[in-house]
Amino acid sequence: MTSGTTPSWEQLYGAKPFRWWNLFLNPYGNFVMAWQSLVERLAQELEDFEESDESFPAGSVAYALVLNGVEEASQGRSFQFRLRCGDEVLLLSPPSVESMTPRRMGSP
Amino acid sequence: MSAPWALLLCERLVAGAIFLQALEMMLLRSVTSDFGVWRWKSLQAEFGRLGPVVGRLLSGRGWPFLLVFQAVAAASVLAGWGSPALLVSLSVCVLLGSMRFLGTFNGGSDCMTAVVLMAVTAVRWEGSSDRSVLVGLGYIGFQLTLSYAVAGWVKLCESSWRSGAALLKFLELPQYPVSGWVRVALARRGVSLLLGWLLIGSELAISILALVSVIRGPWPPLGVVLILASGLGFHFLNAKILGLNRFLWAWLSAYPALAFWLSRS
Repeated sequence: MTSGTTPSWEQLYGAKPFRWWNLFLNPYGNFVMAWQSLVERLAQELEDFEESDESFPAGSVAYALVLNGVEEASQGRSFQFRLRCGDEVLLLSPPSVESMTPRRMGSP
Repeated sequence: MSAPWALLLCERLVAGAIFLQALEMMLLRSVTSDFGVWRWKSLQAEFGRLGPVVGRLLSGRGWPFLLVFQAVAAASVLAGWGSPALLVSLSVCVLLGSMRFLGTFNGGSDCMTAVVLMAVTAVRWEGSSDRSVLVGLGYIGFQLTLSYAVAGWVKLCESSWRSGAALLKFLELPQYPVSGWVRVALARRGVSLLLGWLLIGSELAISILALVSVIRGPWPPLGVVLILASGLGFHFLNAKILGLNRFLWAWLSAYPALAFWLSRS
């Protein structure tokens, strides 16, 4: 990423190669699947939400958790994230302004 | 295989599965810490109405202790020191763990773990009478067969699964560590079509073969071994290709019940 240019979207929490011991213990792989389930839950909430519901998405636990995950991955840098299903963007967060280097992240 | 022996195997295997799950969660302690994805501060609103005791157990401070207790309890059951009270405690731990992650950590594997554990716990709590052991094994066997039947039937009804396209799309999802050569092989339409039908066929076959044994009597020992081995092979490949290791151990813990019903005369 270069200062002054728009950084490209990064995939958050992708899978890592499977090793033989992962047959018994696969913490990272299971974390990635749980993360994906969380993102799918948020996507479902976005599909179901009614425009009269003013508490959404700020009041949504799934949204708060997804935001936690993006914040953690950004490691203190500013970020913006989007939720995409195929070509359709379901959610585009406002950019955060916490630090100097912007970082953009996206779900699949 | 006798009914008490089948239930004992279910008990030990599910304890082993839960022990591994507890170790995995301990290795993932950062995701439940005050800075992790599933931090308690964000979850509090969801669990507030369950009361202060549940809140303390699931909070950032209580959760590690719950996991240690779960691991020790599961290891005790695995070693043969399980009592009905310990099995009940283990069931509570597993349910709380599933709840903490807004439903389930890993979907079906958590459900199957709970099915086997609850059935074993209920039978032990009742005193392990002949009748309750049969009911417990029946429940586990039914849920196991149903899991294959539903998965196979849903795929059979979907044209994208019948054409192999859905399998290809499924394996492209970012959460699965599918290796490059598998992706290349599946990109050929014939391969994805064949594997798609193999998947549908094997899921439906296990449920049909189990039903046949109920109607027509037991399968010969070699037939039982082949059915169980093909089922385990299916879960091993799922673990290897998709990283679904929890499914392997959760389904394995239900297999003694299936073995019992397939071979029961």
